Amino acid sequence: MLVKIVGKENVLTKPEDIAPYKRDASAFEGETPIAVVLPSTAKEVSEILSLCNENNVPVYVRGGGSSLTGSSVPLGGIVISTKRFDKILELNITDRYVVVEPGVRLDDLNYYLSKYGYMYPPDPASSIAATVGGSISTNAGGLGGVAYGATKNWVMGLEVVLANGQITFFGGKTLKRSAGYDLASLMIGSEGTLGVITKAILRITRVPESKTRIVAYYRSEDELGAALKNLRDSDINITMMEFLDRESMESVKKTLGIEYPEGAEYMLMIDVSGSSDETKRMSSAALQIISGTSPITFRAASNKAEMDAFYSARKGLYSSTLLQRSSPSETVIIGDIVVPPTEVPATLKEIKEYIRSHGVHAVLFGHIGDGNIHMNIFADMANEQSKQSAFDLLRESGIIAVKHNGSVSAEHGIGMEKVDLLIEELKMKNASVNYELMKAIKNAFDPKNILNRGKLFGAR
Amino acid sequence: MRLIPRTYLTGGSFLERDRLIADIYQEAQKCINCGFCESVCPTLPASGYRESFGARGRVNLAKEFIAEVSSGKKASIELGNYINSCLSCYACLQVCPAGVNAGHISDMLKRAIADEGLFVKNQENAVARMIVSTTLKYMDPLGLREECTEWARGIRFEESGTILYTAHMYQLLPYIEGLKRLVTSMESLTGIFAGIISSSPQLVKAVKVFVDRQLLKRTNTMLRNISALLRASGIRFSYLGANEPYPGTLLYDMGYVKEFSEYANRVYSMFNASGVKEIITIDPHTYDLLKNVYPKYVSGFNVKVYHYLDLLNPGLFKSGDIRVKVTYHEPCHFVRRTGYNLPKDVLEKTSALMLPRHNGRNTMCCGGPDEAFYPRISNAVSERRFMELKETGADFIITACPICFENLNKDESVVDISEWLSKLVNA
Repeated sequence: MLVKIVGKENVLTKPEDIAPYKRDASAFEGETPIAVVLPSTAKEVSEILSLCNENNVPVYVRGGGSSLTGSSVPLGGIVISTKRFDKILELNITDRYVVVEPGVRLDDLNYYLSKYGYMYPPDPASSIAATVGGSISTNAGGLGGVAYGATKNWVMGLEVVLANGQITFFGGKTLKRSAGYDLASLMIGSEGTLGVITKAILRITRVPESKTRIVAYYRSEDELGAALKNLRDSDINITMMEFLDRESMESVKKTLGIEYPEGAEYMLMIDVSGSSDETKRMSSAALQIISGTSPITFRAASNKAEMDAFYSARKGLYSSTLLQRSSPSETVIIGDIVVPPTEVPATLKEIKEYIRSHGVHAVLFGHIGDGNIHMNIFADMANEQSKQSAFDLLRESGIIAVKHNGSVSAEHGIGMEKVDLLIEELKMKNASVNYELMKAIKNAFDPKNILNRGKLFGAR
Repeated sequence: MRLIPRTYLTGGSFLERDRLIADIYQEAQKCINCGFCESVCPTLPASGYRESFGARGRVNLAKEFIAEVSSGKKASIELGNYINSCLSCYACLQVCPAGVNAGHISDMLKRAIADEGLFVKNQENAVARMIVSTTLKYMDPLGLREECTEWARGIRFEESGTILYTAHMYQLLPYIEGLKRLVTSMESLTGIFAGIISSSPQLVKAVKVFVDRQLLKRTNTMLRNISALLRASGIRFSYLGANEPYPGTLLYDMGYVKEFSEYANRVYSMFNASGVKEIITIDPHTYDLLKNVYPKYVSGFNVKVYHYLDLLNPGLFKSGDIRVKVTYHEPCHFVRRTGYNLPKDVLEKTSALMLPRHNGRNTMCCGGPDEAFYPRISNAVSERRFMELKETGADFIITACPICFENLNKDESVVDISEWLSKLVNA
């Protein structure tokens, strides 16, 4: 039947063809699906879903397969790969939108837009691999989050195929809309549990004309926090605000040879953007502010090469930590929490204390400007104790984040990894009813629970 | 599951297969499955986005293979087409945050496939097997050593220990082009034909019938241009003519390392017998092979290796019309294997160079050498790259490798760098 819908070359059933679809970028390995299907039209997706719904077969949608929480790992059923949905369909600069298919990778989209001087701002570190559909499904953020927010701020409309095969459209080509429930927003971060996205209308914005990058080094969380507060209180247009802790800087030093001053516990890196004149004025204001926050050293990059060198410390951090694994069975699990930016110093202190007292090997870094803290946690997957310690830290950091009015997940989603933490967060916020509401919504969209069964809600 | 073969774990003597398995394991286990490699792997979209035809998928297959063979059994997993279709372009390595070379994992798996002893079922590519047989017999993949000298007719070469080494690369293009058309039109019968030729290698010479005569004329001119450019630069060199052997590139590329090792030593003996001290190569594959691979497989290999561009006198080239817009397709074997950037430097000085999106170490493969083994995948890769090069808006697409030229030669804007340089000299 599937062959009849998409043609035999687009239905994979051989074990060798299916093997790669059992895993994504998380630590989870799924169960072998019956088949992998590669449709290229909404109509084909509709027929596939209709067939699966009728026969109660679970469906797992996969974009770039770069989920860090197991969102795209199948637990049996069939996999729908969106990779053949790889077209950019329409660009409307006047109305500031682009219409794309879900399998387009974010870097490819931005390369295309850059030719016109525009960009689609959500920029997760995995943007080279992550697809439009996948990043909408996890409400991905990224380095530009401090200025541009997350994916939810940039989605205008979505074509969606519902679990029963019905094709519908949420939102549209207008920025404003006040017409009942915002179902397009409901799809964002739903991790493939409500429908299959087959087309997206995305907001775009101009690429800033000019940019200056500034780095500063601090001895403590409080000094780092003071810089964060004073910069955010100013009128400076900050388009990136990142931090690295000492262990992160040490990793980067070992692998990339990027030095840091003695006594530095934290590195702060910001981008100031705007027109050339604005950038000049604002970067000098930013330097003024930073000089008043007791940094060990600070400076602005004087040219593009220096800007790139600073950036490589942050962008190369993942590689740097990976290259320091002590054995092939050791892996790096990535933590992801968020707190209001003013709560960052206290949150960092608590997490650091936990890491110290429990002897876990982890480095901290992240998008400090929007309160998003990441951790690269080393875990030997062949050693139960090491694995448990890593997952304990993940859990504890989530609890600490909620205590500081934050959340257990900033931009990686829930998937298979954080189901318990999500329930815990809602409990701590006296909002357990939200989970029941989410289940009711899921039931309204997908009564047979065929879409991404076993994710977000855990139980199959 | 025993992850590493016993001999490796206990530090005992390394059996060749155990070492190969251990090496694959070591490289594959570093992978964190992020998928970055897959996003730049040219064979993934070319296969219709089947992940096992992409870099990450191949690493996953390597893990499945290791799981099977590490228990001491032969592998039943069918890896043949997924692995043999890897172009070994190493685009994957450039973007991997964990430093995994998925292309090299494929290289090692190709060796495992060629070994025969590791799999329940033979998984060799029939055309690759055929090329091994014919190369070993004729010292040329198509048995056309005589035909490969045609370009040099009428040219008098010097007596010298320095040779111009064509490695048959340009000469074989017109025959491969014909063969490619045949393979594409009769895909289901390719295996049968290749099998017949493997057992009766002399039949390969029938490929002459399918030669693309127009291309033959052009490639002969390219070779004559290269020779003329060297002479104009005052370089003295000889040419081995019908005694020139093919270097064995495809044997090595397709994992036939044992055969390659013996073959390379034969080639070196031929060089020695002809008193060769210095070799001027004219393509990136041979340049890389002689510079980086031969010294590992040929004991006492002591020949100085050049690329012909190294030896050209820069004063020969008039500055050119810098209003002429050109783009340059950087060969993988230059930018990623040997760090050789001279063609780009020359083009920058003589024209308005416009680089495509994928350039430098992130260049994109042209689809070779899959054109002989998986023509559909190769065509899809080259089509994509050709479109990217066209999008630069350049008037000319310059290639610096005969294989790249063949795969990208889709309209009259595509020219080999030897043609371009000759035009500059004669301008």
